[in-house]
Amino acid sequence: MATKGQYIAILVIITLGILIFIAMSMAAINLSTTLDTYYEETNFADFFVSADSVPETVVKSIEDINGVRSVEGRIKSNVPFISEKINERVNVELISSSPEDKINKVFIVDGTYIKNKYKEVMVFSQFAAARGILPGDEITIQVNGTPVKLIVSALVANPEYIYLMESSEALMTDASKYGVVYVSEELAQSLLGMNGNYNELVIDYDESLIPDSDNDTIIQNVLDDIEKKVDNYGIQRIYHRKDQLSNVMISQEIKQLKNMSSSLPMVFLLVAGIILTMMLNRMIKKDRGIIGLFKAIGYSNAEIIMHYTKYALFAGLIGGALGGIGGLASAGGMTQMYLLYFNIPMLKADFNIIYVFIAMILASVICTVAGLIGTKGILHIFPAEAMKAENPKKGKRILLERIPQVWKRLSFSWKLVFKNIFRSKKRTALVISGVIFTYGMILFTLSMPAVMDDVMNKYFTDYLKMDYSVSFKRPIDKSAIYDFKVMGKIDLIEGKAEIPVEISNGNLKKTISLLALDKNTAFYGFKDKNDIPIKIPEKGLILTENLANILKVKAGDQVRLKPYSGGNAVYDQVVYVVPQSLGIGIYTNIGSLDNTFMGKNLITGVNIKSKDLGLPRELYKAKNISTVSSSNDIRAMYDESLALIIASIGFMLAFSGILGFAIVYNVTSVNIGERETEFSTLRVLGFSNKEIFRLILKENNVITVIGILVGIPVGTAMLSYATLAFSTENYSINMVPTNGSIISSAIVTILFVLLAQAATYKKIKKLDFLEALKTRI
Amino acid sequence: MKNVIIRTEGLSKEYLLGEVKVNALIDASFEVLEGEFVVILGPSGSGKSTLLNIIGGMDTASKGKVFLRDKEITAMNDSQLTDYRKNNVGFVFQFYNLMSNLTAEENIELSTEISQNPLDVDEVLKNVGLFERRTHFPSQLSGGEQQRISIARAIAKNPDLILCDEPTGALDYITGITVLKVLRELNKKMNKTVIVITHNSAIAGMADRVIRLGSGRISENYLNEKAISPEEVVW
Repeated sequence: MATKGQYIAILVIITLGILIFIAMSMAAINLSTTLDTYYEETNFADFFVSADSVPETVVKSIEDINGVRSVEGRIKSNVPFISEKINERVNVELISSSPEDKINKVFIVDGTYIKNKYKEVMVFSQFAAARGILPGDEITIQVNGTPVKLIVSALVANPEYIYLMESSEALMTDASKYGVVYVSEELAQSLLGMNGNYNELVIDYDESLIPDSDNDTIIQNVLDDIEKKVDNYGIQRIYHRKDQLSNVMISQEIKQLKNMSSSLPMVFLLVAGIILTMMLNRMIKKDRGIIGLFKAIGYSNAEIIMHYTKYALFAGLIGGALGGIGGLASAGGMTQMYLLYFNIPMLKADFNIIYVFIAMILASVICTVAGLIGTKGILHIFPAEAMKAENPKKGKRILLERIPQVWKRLSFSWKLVFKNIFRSKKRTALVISGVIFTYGMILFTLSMPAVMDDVMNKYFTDYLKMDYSVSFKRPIDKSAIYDFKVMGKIDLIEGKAEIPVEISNGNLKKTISLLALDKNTAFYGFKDKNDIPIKIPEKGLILTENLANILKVKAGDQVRLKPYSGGNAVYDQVVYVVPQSLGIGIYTNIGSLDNTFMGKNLITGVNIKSKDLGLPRELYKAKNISTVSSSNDIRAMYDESLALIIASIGFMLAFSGILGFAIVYNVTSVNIGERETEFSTLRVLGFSNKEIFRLILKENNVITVIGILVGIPVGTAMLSYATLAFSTENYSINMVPTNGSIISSAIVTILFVLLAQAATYKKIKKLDFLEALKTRI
Repeated sequence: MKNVIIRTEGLSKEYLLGEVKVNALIDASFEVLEGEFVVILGPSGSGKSTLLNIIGGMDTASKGKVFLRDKEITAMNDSQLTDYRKNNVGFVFQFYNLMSNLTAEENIELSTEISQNPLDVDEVLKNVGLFERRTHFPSQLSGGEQQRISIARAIAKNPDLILCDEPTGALDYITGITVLKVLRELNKKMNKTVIVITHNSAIAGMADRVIRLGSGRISENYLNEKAISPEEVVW
């Protein structure tokens, strides 16, 4: 078949499109179903409270709030995990667990629940796998400077840590350096001296009272009611599960997967449909004599149309079936791939064959519609006319000819090229669209590593300048900073105060930690939108842009701050709004804090500049140390993960290239088919195959250049869309293409286009010009 | 004394039509002198198109040889045949085969751009009487005018041979005569060897030499001592 190559190309596009649709849809469904099941089985909490110390009676009183089914208190503390490697810094969340727990129940992956309350521990499975820990092993944690040896009774999972995140700034967490361990409540109480109190509450709420998950008013009312109960107990944070870090990550991932599963395949199917239309159009023109003959014999339009439309329908059925089967086969793998990042111990992988049929119907409908559009020309073929020679097409001047200053300077071959390009505007538009889309996708793909790297470099070099960030369990006087200097080789140290507040602008509220710093801080490089360095103002606030957007405030506006520590609300002015890629923040001058928020001269932590890798171990020996975060560790984790990001980029690049290749190959093939007589005449005149091919190459190259030039703003727009789509409250990655990515994307696009064109050279060589010139009807 | 420009020796062509072997041309041997106006006559299926295509370097022979002066065309490879068509042959098709998106003069420039020694485009246009229509597109020209442009395109290359495949086949009588006049004038004024294949025996009257084909064989090959002018041709 002359169109065999094109037909195969169309089948490939349809198959790929359907495969992506099925694989992604099934993965989204599997993840969603798995998540729902997991949350139900473990009774994932609806509300969370972090506070200093809440008595049991207060915990129980929360059950009086309308809609609260039950409340459980627990104890949680970030403690060092003692590693065999001396300078390795490993931390774990130590969390109390009780066999009577009904909320956020641990899920046992391997082993048994704690039997010996004072000697056993359950370890988070991802952390255990990363460190090679098995049930029966002994581990050592350090609590208040004292090493505590425990035997691992089980490896567990928990719905709070589906996505392991050390903090909201830690995009990626190294599972070998951060984990979770569960001890009996008795042991936790004893180790941390809680005296029967709790510093974390998990609350089960009757969800039927929240009609949909976005019912912010009801959620806020419940949060307010909870806050009133625990107001006097050092609240740090109260939030609904929709703000729980891990839940946010997995929910967004499923949402993005669902979006992509519907949008991306439609692009492939649309492209396949357009190419099918063109191919059938071409077939009709070529067969017009035969069609005329059939009509003369007595065949109806409908019968002839159906004959040709079957080509399209067949492509839809075959492509749909192949894609459906491929998609089902890939769905499990794709779901498993997500489980590399998300810890859900019970994968519910459903393979519903109905999706294959849905896929076949979808592909068939699109292809049939394309077929009907492509064959409608049959209606206009009259038998007598069809058996005559075709009238020459009307010629007309192109726009460029009306610019004599340009036209006269062009050589004849270039005049020929431009005339041919603008002769068939639809075909040219299709190739340009294909190149634009391909270039846009490639630009988007190739920009990502540079953007991510830029974000990380900016964040960890220009913005955050500390090596270690230390938090205390309780505030201390700032003069205690000098005691730290003897702990190791410290180059620079500054005190900071992190105060949980509710910031609001009218009805718009956000719970966040106000970070009070030295106004001449050396550890934060604040810059405005124009990249100009700014200092912390004497009075007033600096807000990050994402927070300002949430609260709908700008520089000069007033915001209300209510500390969770129990003080009165105050109003303060937003002096600067600064862009910040990672995290969400509010900053002020520590010297301007008065007793409203915290006692004067008190600090809740320090930032340290030090190259001493053993410093964290020394710091943890101090009793008041809560957490020690290392900027370098987070950065190193990102660098390791870049390899995975690059792999997924390669995948996307391949898809973009295949689509671009298919479009250019098919349109060029149709181009050659439609111009068979023309090319045959050129061969008779004495043009060689190479000379004819060079003509086509020049035409496509001009189109490619136009496509790339238009593709730059399209790719930039795609990156802007991605900025919106991928940005959350915690991450705002401003994707702007670099000069390097613009150029490299152009090169990659040109390579794919050249490949497609090279593949069509065979068609030129195979052209039987004698046969083509004989066929005049 | 005129030189031989085309010589064929035992030229034969057979091909498969499905499972049937067709002998399109059988043992054709003849000579054409420089500057002759030759008409190859024969009904459909007689082998005249096959013969023209082999002489024009567009098809290969199964047996035999063809020479353009001392160059053996049948021994040429694909690349050499392309050069042969480029430099030595001008072809005129029954259905003109002009590029619809190029004007009349641009269609002629298509030939001159690749030729080693082309004629002036404007002169050629004047020779075929279409200089005033040079900026018109094929869709704006009549059938006869399009055929004249096709002839101009062939002649602009300044080839050794002009080969015409049923040049009047798609035209009415009056237009056909006009086209034949153009061909005859080019043949006489520029001393170009013209070979016309046709089934229309009336056209043979204006030829210098007539070669008659039947069932793939040459049945007659004679000089026409009393060649008539194109205006006297009647069909």
